[in-house]
Amino acid sequence: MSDHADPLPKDTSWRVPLPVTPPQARQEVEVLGLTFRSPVIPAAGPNVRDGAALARVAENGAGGLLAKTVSVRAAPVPRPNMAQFGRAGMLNTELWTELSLDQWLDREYDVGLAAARAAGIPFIASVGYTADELELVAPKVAAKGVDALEFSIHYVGTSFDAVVDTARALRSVVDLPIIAKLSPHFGDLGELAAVLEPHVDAFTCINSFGPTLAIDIERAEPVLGSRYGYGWLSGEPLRPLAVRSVFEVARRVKKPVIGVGGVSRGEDVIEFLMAGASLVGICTQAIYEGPQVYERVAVEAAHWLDRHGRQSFADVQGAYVRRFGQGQRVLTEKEEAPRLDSALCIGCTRCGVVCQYDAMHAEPWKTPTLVEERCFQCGLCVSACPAGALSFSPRAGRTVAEAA
Amino acid sequence: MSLALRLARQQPAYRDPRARAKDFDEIDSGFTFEQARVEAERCVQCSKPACAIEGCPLGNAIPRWIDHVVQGRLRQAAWVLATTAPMPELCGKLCPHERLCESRCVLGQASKPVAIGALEAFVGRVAEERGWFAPAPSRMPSGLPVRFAGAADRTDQSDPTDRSDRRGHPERIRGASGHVAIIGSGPAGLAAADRLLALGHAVTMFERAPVAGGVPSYGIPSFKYAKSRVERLVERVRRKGAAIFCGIEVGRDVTVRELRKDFDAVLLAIGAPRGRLLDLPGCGLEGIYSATGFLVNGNVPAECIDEADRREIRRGRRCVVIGGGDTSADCVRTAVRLGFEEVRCLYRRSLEEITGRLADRGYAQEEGVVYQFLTSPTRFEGSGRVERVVCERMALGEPDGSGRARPVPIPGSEYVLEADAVVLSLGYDVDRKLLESARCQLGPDGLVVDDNLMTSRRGVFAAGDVVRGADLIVHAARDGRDAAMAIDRFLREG
Repeated sequence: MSDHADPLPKDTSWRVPLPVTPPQARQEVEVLGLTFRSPVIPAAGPNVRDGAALARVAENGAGGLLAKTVSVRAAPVPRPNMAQFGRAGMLNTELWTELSLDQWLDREYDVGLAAARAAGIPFIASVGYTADELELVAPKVAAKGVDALEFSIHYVGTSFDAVVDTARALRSVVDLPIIAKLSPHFGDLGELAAVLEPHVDAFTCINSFGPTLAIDIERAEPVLGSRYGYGWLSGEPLRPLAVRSVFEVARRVKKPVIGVGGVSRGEDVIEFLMAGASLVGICTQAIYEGPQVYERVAVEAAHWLDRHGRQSFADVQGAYVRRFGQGQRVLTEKEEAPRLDSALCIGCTRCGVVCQYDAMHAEPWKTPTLVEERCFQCGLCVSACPAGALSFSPRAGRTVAEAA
Repeated sequence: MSLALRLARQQPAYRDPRARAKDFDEIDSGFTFEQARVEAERCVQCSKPACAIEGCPLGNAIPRWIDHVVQGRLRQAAWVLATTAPMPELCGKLCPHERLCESRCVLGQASKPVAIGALEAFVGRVAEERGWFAPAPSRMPSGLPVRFAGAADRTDQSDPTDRSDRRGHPERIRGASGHVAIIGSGPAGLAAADRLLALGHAVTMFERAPVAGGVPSYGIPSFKYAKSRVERLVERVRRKGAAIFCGIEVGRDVTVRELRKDFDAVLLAIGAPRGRLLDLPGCGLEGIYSATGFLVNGNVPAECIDEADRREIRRGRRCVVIGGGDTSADCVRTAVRLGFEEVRCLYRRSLEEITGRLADRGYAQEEGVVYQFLTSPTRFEGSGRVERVVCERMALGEPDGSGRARPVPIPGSEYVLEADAVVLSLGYDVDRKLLESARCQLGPDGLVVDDNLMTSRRGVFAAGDVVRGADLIVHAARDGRDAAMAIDRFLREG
């Protein structure tokens, strides 16, 4: 691949239609003293691989910009380096930017920054990796006029000291807000965040997870070109791990968190915000959908606020941390079987199929019957119900046995 | 091969044609939940979904809500739908999907397109049954101006309580930003009311017929779309806060000018009710019906029909329906259900040019209807009552103004069809006389409106067939929704 060849035009003018009524809730959020147009920004990856890509992201309504990670040299990226996994997941061995530092400094940052200024949104640059490299790279990037710097711990080893050293090194050479991007393979991210907190201003949770392996069984070959074919998992399958990591960090530290990992819908934004994030980053879904994803997801999230009578994202931010950050439990050791709101049941039979204890029996188009003595209160039927008719909450209605 | 291409397009279970031809019940019960999941799984979530961008007049975010169905989140699917679609159940059942969204589905290239219509009907039905579309009624009370005090008694307004409070001039209605009169309670009127109420305005609707709903109530036979579904839709809009008054005809009971004085804005959504007629010898004979007269009197209980429109349908053995549009398919299938044993549909062009929905023609043929293409009537014969239709064969000539080949009679090809009843289903026009009396500017198809759907009279808007001439329900819904947005802007900005 050569970046000297002219790129093919990329049409991003089309949209999956947005709701006809714009949301009422306030979409702007304030983080690190910067005003983001919405809480939805890009996460570092090929979706922000150069200035032109950054400009497209800004023009398509992202809340802020974040550029792909640069280091002292271009990444020796193996090929192939990305593969779709399942419906909305991805394996990659993308490393960091495949462009040289000089190209970023000469051209790409200027294009990206101009787009950010035109859209009136903040611009975050991402730098890597070791203390020595950061001391070399970060001042040059900071001199371009970016609003904040993110650094990744992905290739700095797994000792607290090494990570703290890189943060300190960065702090000593730049006078900008510093964001630490945490990798899930590190282990205890909550503890790491607590140790890092004095040296950074915010956290990004999480980087892709791995290493992982997928094999093309027709050829007995890996799907990626890296050593052993190992890749790193991102996209929708990563979301529960990402939400847990955000929560873990948010409950230990006071500084803001950017949640990254499997965001593809407005509801996902709300989930991350409740877990303690202040912003969310999207990479995989932006690759699959295009840069329109940022505005769509932000609008969907704001509509969720409208439907639930909230005025701004601050109203839900950290809601889960406040309720469960101290280890409180609500849904455990239930004595009661699930309750059914028969007015909501659509008779789909899913509860009967998934019940592993032979306690639920369901016929198409009819409300299910439950033998309460057999029910283990495992809860699977409650989460599998497409209509939200089953619940453990005593407010919802009668028990299944009563309703049948 | 990807999953989408391995899965077969799902079909709802249809009733046996012989059994269903004997009653007016719907011919299928729609998707089951599992069918809907499998069908939704067929959607490849393509990157540039033309179904939504180019195919759907309402701009429904089709791949988004289908994705929710795949994941089993029907409530979220319904919410996504509701952000653009005022009446998904209706559109899911009645749109010509093969010409709209499904024609743009990329799966159509290699396999069959995703059954978007049946999926929308499924999500719409479940959501309407559970009341997911109407979470909270508008706080804005709607009601009649004082001058209609007597009219309310002639209506089916179900909540007559609290009248003293709800009457009075619109400006006295507290909390509402504006009060809009909507004339006509068909798809355009209901779509506009739904959106206006959501935007915080008060809405009062006037319907000429004894029952609200417009074409879906009167024109669409119940074997295609059950009356209970229409009632449910009207009831949803009513519960959201619209006051609906039936049996009030604009031009007879009240004028547009008077309404414009009483309300902040007026929306004309009165459709295109005038059936086109044939000027042929013998067309005044008894037993020759307009499509509307035939459908309404064949499908709707007499007590729900305005007295002036009530007619006895003559039963017999042979029925001839003339015309090839959607309405003619409804007429032939109604004729089958009324007991006619030999039902023919005459169309003067060929199968290539026919406009009616493919699916409906298929159902009609299953039910025993015979289509005769390139055939046109020249006169009707009989003594007092129609007994014979004299037809001639046609050949296709050069394209005419509509771009379709012009049918040309073949000399000497006349032949005779026996008939006990004849239905003229030749399309619809707007009621020009009524519109002239409203003193709004008229164009060739209907009212002339600007980009904001406002007519030449300030504050008087128009939507649906009254602007477009006879057209699809989904276009009327789109117009109604857009008119509501325009009225909202007009009321806020003047």
